[in-house]
Amino acid sequence: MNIFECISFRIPKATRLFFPLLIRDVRERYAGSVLGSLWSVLNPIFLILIYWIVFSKFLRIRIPAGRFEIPFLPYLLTGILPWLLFSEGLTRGASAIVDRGSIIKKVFIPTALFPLSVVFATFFNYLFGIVAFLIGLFVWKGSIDFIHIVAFFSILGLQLVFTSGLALALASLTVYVRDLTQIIGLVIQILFYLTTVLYPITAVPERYRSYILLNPLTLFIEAYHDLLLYERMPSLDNLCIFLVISAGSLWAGFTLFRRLQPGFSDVL
Amino acid sequence: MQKFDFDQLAESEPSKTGPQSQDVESSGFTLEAQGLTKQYRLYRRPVDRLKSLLMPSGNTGEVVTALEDVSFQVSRGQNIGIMGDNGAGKSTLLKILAGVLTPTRGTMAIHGRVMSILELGIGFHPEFTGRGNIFFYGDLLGFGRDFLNEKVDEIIDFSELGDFIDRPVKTYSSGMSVRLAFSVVTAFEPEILILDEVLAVGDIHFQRKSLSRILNFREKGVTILFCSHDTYHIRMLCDRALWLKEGRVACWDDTEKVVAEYESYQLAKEKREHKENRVSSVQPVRIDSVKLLNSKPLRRGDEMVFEIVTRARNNDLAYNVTLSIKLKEGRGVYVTGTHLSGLSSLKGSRQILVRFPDISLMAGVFYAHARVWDKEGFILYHEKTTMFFDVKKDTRELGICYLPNSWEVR
Repeated sequence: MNIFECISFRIPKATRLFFPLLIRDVRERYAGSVLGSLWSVLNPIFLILIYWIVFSKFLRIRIPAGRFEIPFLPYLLTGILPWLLFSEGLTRGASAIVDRGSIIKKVFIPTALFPLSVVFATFFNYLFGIVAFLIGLFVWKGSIDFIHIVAFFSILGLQLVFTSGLALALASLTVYVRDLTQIIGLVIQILFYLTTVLYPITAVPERYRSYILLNPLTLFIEAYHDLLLYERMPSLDNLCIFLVISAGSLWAGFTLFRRLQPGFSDVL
Repeated sequence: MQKFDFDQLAESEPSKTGPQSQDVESSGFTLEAQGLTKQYRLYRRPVDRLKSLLMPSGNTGEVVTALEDVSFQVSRGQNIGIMGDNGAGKSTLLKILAGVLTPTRGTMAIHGRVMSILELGIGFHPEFTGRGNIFFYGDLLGFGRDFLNEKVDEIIDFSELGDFIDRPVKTYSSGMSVRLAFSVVTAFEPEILILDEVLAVGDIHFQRKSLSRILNFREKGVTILFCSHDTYHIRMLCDRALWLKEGRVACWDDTEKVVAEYESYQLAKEKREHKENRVSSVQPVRIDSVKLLNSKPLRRGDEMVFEIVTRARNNDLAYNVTLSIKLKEGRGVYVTGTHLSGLSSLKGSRQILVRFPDISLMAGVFYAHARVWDKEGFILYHEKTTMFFDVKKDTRELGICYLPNSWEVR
């Protein structure tokens, strides 16, 4: 069989498989729990509420915007929704292969679809919240530039690709090093406080600022802040960085995954 | 010849026609395995395994060979039985053929849609219902919704799960899971079906149903690879058999030949173990001797008498005795026993005479195999066999056993 036949057979099959898997992953998360999909709404709402109360009311964090100030809640929401998308996608994606061990050991399927579909399922879980937030923002501000919305979703798409690559890499590593699940949880918690979700970048002392900006998630979230709150398009440099890190992450993730995949059923 | 990866996925396209089918015609084989070898490396820590995967030249663990240089070819529609002791590599081979394990060396080519039941399941999702899992599995294999909707009732019918079909699979017994797995896999019209010890679970009724479905497939030209401990099922279902011994092919031939060799190997092994048993002598009840009392060569119609002498360590322990008449190759002809014939179980050391008046045996070399069991007939205490004995033929009829018959010619 030549290479073209291989490709022509593999692409339709993989995509046909992807969507049913995706639908199941969206549903699966809450199968067996009493409140079902309500949790996907309640969980972030409570989280956001508590951050809002603590950081805005108790700690009185101010978000400067030139001579004015931006209220804390829209600032928080702009950053935290993409952040949750990233952290949840990564955590669940990283354990996707281990969780599906019983299937991978028994049926021949393209295993790479599992982490990918989990990452995308998380996106759909949050899509409703993101759209609701954008509508709220529109009502509050009175207007949002359409081009900013388009740019927001494009960068969010790149973030999704970036997350997918990381998830592929971590999912295949977790098969061999189970402790990784714990480590990922810890690292994500640390990264959260090193990302400009709860405070503005201006609150970070000058000499630490460049370190904070090394965190790719800060770059993404700063871009969202710029687009939705400050109405600034991201610079061409930043766009290039997004493209490079998401493509690089996806390539590296796939390469590592393919390398480690043959041993999966030996270890699972 | 193709290797694994996504190529095989293409082969398992449900709607496939075209290049693959032509391949079948050209090579003539549905399945070809060439020098399949599977080695596991044992590492002290999982991290070492990761290191060796990332840097293949470096750290190597201790190598355990599960399968070594296994080659065979299967034509379309052949049923292949795979047998061997525990740990001989049967399941490893089937997993490689099903595509879930990657062989260390060797290649294989499969032409046709493969379905498999490995380790008594097909990877159901425990939280989804039985019905949900039918669709889940169908989706995994890339079947369209129309096809699944059309098949789902048939699957549910065959599985006989009734109301359970709408409950989560985690509430199922292992027998129920296998029933569903078997119903699903066979409903999806496989061209190659791989079954690992499927008939070992489930009730007799479902076993019978599954067997008849397998036989039905055989007529339709489905290639089946079937692994079982039970030589009876292999003999019944398979054209050819593969006997694996410590990961290597010990015999690959017509079923009858392989089964005969395998059974005489089993018998030799049992005899060796008897000798070892004699040394240890810890059984609560032992057979001191079992022998045929007839001195002349037997003929059909003679009375055949066996004497079994048992010795019990404890006079209060109830036990049962069975006596099997077997062909030289180890295949059983007839089994009788205290609990099988409705007698009460025995106690204490005994001398037992077992009489067979008017035997139907015709011709051949036989032996008898005596065993003592616990009160329920579950646990084997001790066993012993007689010497081989001949039955001489005195008619022109053929066979091992006389069956009364009359002819009416019109």
